[in-house]
Amino acid sequence: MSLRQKTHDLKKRMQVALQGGGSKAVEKQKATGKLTARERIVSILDPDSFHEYDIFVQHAGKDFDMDKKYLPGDGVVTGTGTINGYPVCIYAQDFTVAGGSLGYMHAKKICKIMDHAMKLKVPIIGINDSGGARIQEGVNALAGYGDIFYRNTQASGVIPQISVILGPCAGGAVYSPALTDFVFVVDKISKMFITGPEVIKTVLGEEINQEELGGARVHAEISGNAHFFAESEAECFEQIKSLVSYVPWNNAKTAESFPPKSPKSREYRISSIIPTDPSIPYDVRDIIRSIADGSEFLEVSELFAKNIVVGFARINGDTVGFVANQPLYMAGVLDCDSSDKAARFVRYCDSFNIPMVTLVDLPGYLPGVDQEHAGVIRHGAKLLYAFSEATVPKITITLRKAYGGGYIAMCSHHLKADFVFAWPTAEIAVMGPEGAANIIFRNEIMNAENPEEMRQEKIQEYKEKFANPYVAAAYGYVDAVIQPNETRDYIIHALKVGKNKQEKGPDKKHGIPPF
Amino acid sequence: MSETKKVYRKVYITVDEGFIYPFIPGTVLDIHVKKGDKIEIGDKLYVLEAMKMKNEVLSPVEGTVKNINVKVGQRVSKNEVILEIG
Repeated sequence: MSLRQKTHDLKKRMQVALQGGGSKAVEKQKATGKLTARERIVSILDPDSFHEYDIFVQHAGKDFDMDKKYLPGDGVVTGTGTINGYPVCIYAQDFTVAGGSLGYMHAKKICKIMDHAMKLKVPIIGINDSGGARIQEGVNALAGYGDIFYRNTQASGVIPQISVILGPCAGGAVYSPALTDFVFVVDKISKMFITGPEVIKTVLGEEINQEELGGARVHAEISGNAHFFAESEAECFEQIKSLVSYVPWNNAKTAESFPPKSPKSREYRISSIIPTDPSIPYDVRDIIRSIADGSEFLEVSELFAKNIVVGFARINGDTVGFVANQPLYMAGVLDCDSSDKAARFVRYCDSFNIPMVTLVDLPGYLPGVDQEHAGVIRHGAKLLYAFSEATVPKITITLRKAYGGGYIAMCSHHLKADFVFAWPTAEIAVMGPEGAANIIFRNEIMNAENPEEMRQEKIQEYKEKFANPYVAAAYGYVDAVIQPNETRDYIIHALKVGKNKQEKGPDKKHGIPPF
Repeated sequence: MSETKKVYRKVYITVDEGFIYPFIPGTVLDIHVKKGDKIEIGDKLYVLEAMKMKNEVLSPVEGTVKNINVKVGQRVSKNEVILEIG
């Protein structure tokens, strides 16, 4: 054969492989509002940057007449490309080929591109759209999942791992996304569960549909498994591109710098966001936007545990991670879910050299039987652990309330925050004035002629004496009391002088966080 | 079995968004609407004081106020329906 003939032969082979599951299967995929695997990859990556590998890989099934079947690329598309010029490794399961089911070679391909990402030290993006294990391949399918989970764990904290759920992701398959850093879901398209509605009906007699059991909304709002929720695949891809711009390629680098931008100070006036009455809520995201470059803020887990806000922004061109209590929702209390959400985010930032800014305004941990029995002790401990363990520059700003255990947990001086600032509106004390007065002045109140009057008097007394930032400042627990409009300047300065921060804990294999 | 199922669905799935539950136990400080009022999404419904915060509760749905099950000053638990909008 001449080179021309050989080239022609290659093109023919490519053509067959690129058809995926064939036009009928592709049509079916599109009818449900879904793109095909290759279209998805191309939509996420920079134009013409996708290079596909292992397109001629064949499945390894021998039983049940599988050896007579041809599955193009064994149902998964893998390769490399760039996002805004950033290199990434990427794979997408192809639902049109045998339902995107995971067989031995399918898993091998995924493992290969993951190993590639680890060697090149670049992010890995996985697009999940699969019916699950390819049952015909038996234990080899399970082996495939295990190999992927192991790699997910090894890569954790080394390279950013992003999972995109664009179809069903059921059974063992869900644990790969769960082990990665960020999970993206799309309304009505993503479905994640360990056991589906059929099994639940058979075993428990409970009837529920896929959407209510494990749809995108469920995971974004209730279970917290998903970090980004989108209405359409196109919106989801924009979110991925935005996220990639905020994080470094790997744990040895810092995130890319962008040209600094001023916040939109006309829309977000930092001095007038906080109401004077401490019992009136406000949206803490407005404070973040009043500080961040261009007032841009990429919120992570926006719909889950809304009483704490976490996400990325830039300050003077560099990425920072924000953790902020949200007075707008449940008064901004810490509870099981919010502690869990924030702790994970703090560990992410610490792994990838992203400085942290913590904004504090909370009444404390949420009381109640529900919470105690749900394990608020061990979940709350996660946040203490994460903040204490983090060695990136840590900047804490107390905006308003900082009481009791909540004060300590929110990256206080005691958990080795590097810069602790407080607004003049800050109230840093062992507990709220009402509770404290009841305990400290118990006898005076009980023995008074008019106990209620005495109580109010003592509450007022306590408020004046302790509900301010100056008692904590007197002990050096607050480094500076600053005016709200100085906040951005203080953060910029702290980031500048904290850039070369080096801190090393005692040698250990790893700690034992309260998982 | 059916009893368990009911509780399960109540906690994890909002059957009807028009049933307004408090997101946290607290005290009803003020109610901004009356029975029969037309409600748009985002309209202020009532003030719930909880954890020393006066939370303005906004409507997640549009419709008409069908029922108000609480009075001003009443303490409410997490599973009580405050308002019904339909």
